[in-house]
Amino acid sequence: MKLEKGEISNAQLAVLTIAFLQAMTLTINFNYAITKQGTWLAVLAGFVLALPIAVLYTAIARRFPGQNLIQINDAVFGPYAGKLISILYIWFFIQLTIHYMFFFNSFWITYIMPETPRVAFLVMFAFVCAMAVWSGIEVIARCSYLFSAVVAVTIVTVAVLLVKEIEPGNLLPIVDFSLKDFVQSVHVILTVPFCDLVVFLMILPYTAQKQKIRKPVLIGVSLSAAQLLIVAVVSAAVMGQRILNTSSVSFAVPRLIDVADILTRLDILVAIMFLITVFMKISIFYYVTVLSLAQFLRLRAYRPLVVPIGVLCTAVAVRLYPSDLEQVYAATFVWPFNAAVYEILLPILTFAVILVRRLPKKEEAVSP
Amino acid sequence: MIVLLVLSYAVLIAFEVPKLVREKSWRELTVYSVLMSLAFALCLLEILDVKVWDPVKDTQYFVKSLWHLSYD
Repeated sequence: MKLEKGEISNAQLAVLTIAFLQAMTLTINFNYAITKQGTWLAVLAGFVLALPIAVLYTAIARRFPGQNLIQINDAVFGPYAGKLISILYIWFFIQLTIHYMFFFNSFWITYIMPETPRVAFLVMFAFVCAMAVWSGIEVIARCSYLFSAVVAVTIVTVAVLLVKEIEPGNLLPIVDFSLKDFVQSVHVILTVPFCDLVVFLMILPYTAQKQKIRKPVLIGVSLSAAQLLIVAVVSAAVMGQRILNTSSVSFAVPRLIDVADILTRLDILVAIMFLITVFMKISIFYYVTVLSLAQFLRLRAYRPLVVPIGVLCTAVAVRLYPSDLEQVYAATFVWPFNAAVYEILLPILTFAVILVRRLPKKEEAVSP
Repeated sequence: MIVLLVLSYAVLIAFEVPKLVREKSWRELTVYSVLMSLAFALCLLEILDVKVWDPVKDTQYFVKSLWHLSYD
């Protein structure tokens, strides 16, 4: 039984990929402390490595058209090992939802309204995300058209208005970090924003043309990476060495915009961008969590799980870390290894088993 | 705060449960009840300022202490 009745077009898939990945223009802040003004090099390396991984995800999905990750795990690893791997994935999806909820909340509380109780924003935000998840993938995909355009226009506008502040000399020295730092930075970029794309293995079965999913996904990844590159280069060229001493570079850079004393304090644009991108990110994680759990438990519909999962995630996310710095530490030093297991190792293992077992067998391929 | 929590839960349950009963979705109702009970317990403990579960510590324990992986 199909849990999601909706279907998205392949063009919507491309835009949804962009909207999903655009949050990396804010999570890039984790990288500035590691590779400083040379972060754009890590972005390029991360993008180059992300492409084959995105191809891997689409290759797995194309082998099992119409089947989501939980069904694929059962087909590839058998009923017992498949269930175990599915539990691990569901746990991973819940973790992603919780971490991004905390990320959203801590930004909003720290920079916009510090006096507000932590739980206030989170409850309202979780409620909006729950409405999106309740409405299904079609509505989330339709939102992505508007939201991805707003974010792209904001990025370009901020970059253009900052032209006066750009000092090309600030980009030097480009390589002001060790090889270990570079590897760490690429690892963070690869696992935190790019390879979160593994959750699309739960969405790809609901695209209209299931064999033509590779192109839209790769277009989405490339356009998001281009936006990230603009942000990384402009931030470094404006901030220079100061990039190390700023807690949220994405938020600090637009504050420097001053057009004839009229256009100032444009940091609020970044706040709006933050709200939009994180909404898309959390909605998709939340949707995928609910859908995978419903599939795992063989429910007839995923909607009865929307409210309980939302409440659970909100309750845990409120005080996930004692401080923002703890999250920065976790995201840059520990999380990349944890995420790599689900985003890189398990998909490679899955595809290797598919090749060895020559899956899908003919009857599996016919009945999704 | 506890009264507010109980009231919120009553609204959420009134919103979802009658429909599940009407449709005789017993499996869905069971999962819903288990998850909502768990969520209620977590929220209550959060209000009482008791932290019972820390997923971050668990993850860091696995990655750093068991797998010996970290950029430290």
